[in-house]
Amino acid sequence: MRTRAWTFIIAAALATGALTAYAAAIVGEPAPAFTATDDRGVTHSLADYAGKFVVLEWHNNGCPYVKKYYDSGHMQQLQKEWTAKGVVWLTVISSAPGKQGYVTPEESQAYMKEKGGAPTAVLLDPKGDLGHLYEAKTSPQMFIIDPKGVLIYNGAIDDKPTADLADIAGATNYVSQALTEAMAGKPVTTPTSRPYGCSVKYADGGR
Amino acid sequence: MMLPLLLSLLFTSSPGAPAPQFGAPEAPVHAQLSLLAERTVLRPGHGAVVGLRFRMDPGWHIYWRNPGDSGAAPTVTWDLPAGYTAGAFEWPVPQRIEASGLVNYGYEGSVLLPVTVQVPSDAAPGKIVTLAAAVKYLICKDVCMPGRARVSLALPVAVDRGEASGDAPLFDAARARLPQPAPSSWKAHATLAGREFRVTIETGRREATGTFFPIDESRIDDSAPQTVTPLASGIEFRLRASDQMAKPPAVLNAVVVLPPDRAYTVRVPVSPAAR
Repeated sequence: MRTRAWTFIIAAALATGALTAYAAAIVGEPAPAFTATDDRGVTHSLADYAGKFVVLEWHNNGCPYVKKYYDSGHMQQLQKEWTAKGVVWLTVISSAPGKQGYVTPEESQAYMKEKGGAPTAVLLDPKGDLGHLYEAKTSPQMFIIDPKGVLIYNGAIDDKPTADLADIAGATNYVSQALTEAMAGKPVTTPTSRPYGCSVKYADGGR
Repeated sequence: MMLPLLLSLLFTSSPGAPAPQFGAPEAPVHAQLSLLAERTVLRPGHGAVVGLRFRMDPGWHIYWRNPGDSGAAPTVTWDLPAGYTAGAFEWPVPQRIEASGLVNYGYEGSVLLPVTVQVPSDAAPGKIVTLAAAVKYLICKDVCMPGRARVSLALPVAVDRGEASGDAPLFDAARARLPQPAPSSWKAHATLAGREFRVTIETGRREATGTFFPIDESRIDDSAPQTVTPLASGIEFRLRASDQMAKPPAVLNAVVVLPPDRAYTVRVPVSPAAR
């Protein structure tokens, strides 16, 4: 068994220098810097993607709200559409071992292959460090970071907070909307929304 | 007038419902749902108090009107005869349910959500009327499952008030758990400094402790600890703002619970912190 080092670096991203108790993911502020390892053992740092849009997608393959998007192929479609336009799409799994959605690296690869998923990478976060750094609360919860490293979206995937596939059709997809607007140099209409879905299945005991 | 027990509760799992999508159960899961009436008749031109009751399996919970960090409140699509209209549900005080650092507001065990159905003034006495609703809910333990149920209730229309039903005690118990409007003598105010709300509620007496349940979503960070300070004539809550709060709100609407047994709905105007 290989062991993996789960290294996360909380950079002093706040310009003030005064470390607040909560260096969370606030829209309009620098996105918290991180380094994490994907399901192929490759390390990804947010700094590596300076100059690009980065999407973070919190994932749990057992969650009905995630299934709504994966069993219907919509999430995969979004991944393909936006990575084709140069976006870095990082799917993050913060489920702790023994909790719903936890996968080994091999299981993660097999799942994405079976589903035809096309994120840039799947980051495995079983200790929840990246999840807590961004204060991800649900799956799917979505974050978008602009080429300057500023967070421009934090919230739900769309405006229909249900587990019903039928609701995708009439929904406004906040991720596509924000990326379309930001790429056109326009302000993001909906920079935050209440993330809906299952709670992220962090390790017991919280932070 | 003899009133037979017509509170025949129909609780079905939607026979003939479309095939489940993606393995999502169509039948009620981990809870039994029923629609109950407080009295035995529907009176023309009056409101009839009915209630949606959830009885959860041990360890499972459903959600309050604001579910907190995750989850979803139950939703109802009414199927009522022409002329009948249902109001909004009333929500008993929820529990603060914590798991792995996240916080939800909801109910374990059982809960009755009262709602008033307005009976049309031209409803024909003697007729048996069926009130029905399609309920969607999310129920969670360590995992979450979407549930659906169709509930219904048949009652006779009568010009008299009828009698208290056998379920009336459940309504009394639910009412005892409903938050009351804050007394007009109370003064509530909040400031927002940085990402912290400082909520002051003057109740006229020292409040040793309390819990703040935000009614509106995406105002406060549900999982952040609430710093509670007793004041000489009230209580102060320091609450971290939600990361999803786009702009400072003008008002925080909340249910404030003051142990052992007081709960009030409070409207708290917000102003920027004084410099």
